[in-house]
Amino acid sequence: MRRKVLIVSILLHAALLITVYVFQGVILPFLRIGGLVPLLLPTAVAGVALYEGRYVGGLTGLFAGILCDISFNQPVGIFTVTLTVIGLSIGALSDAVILQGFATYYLMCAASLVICTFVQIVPLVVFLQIPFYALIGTAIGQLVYSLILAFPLWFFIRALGKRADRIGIPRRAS
Amino acid sequence: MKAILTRRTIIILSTALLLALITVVSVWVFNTSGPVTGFANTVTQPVRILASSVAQVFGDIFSAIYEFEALQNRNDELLRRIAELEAAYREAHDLAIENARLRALLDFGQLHGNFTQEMATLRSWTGDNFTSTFVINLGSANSNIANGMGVATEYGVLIGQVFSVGATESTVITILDTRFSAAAFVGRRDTGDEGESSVTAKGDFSYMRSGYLILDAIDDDLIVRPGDTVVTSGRGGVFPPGLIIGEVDDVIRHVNEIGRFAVVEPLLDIENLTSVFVITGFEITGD
Repeated sequence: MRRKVLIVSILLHAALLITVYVFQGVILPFLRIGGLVPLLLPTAVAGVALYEGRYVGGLTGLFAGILCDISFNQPVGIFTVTLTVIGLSIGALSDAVILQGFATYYLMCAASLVICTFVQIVPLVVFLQIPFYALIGTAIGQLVYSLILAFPLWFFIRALGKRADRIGIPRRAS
Repeated sequence: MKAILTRRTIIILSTALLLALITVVSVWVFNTSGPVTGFANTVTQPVRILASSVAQVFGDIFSAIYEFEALQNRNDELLRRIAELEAAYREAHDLAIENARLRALLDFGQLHGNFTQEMATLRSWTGDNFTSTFVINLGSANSNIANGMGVATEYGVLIGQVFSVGATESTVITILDTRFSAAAFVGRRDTGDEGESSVTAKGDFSYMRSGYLILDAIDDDLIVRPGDTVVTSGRGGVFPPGLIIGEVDDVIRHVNEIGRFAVVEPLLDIENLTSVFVITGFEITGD
């Protein structure tokens, strides 16, 4: 019984990640607003980590990072590490300090998006010598657009979190 | 600290670092995107292909809704074009010379460039706002393509360059991407010298999202006008000569008044492409 519950939980999280990945990597590039595509996977990681703790958050970050790297047509690496660290960190904060709520969710989403945007921008500034001011407009646009779409995502993530609480999936290592 | 760095946390973090390390080693040592990327791409490939097809249908519907507006814009654009052509008619002599030179360049490419190419289908576009790349269905296992090869249409319009090659698919940076640059010919010298008008066409972040690239560091004695065609020069041996990059939209002097650059509009809407050709080899037989 316990095993079945765990498998269903894993499948639900996988479905969430794949759906978000399809939207971010395949559908939304066709529907750009102001030429921008939102970043959804980091917000999903932040939300899952907030509602389900460091382990689920870390694992979600690991797989979301792989998908994020693929959706950016780049070798698996930078976002795999970044989102894993984000998932573990927000999860640890959620386990120990911060409350689960809409405002916290948005704050964590914003923080994870800022970190991811920073990770995207740094190679362009360092290796291609693109001035920072030329990138900041796109960065802010990406942040705002992503945060708007983080709102509908919250309902799904909160539902997953509530389900995990209901069936008793532990947030911390025993 | 001990409570945070538990065994499970360390395992998850180590897994991420290990995967990244494998990829870094693959990219730097073996010049491939690596087994982790290959596996992840293969696993997600069916989802991407299916979702891409569905998204394309929605994209077509979206386009149809705005078709009327697009036609109106096109009409305005054509009226503007007529006015420009009337002005250009008055400069017939210059244009005739320039036209002859460009024809010579194109003939050069067609006569002396011995192309081998492979057709590829676009799989997906990047979701990244800071780059302009797409994925094609050719890789090291099903084609002869390699990093750095040119990507063009069947009409000889340059689209981009292969950036990384996986087993069954590869990433292409477009001519709009900031990592793209190519030696090109444009305009003519005011000294009357027809032979030397080489510039560098490259992606620029400020113009990328508007769908333009630039010609950087144009010499003051090089006459470049809006409407001039930009073609690859073949210098450096990366791209064959004679591939069309685009048309000059505007020539702008740098803010510091030192030197000029030109804004170039690609000849076609790159984002609506469905298939391209990868130039897997070419020879320049003439001197």
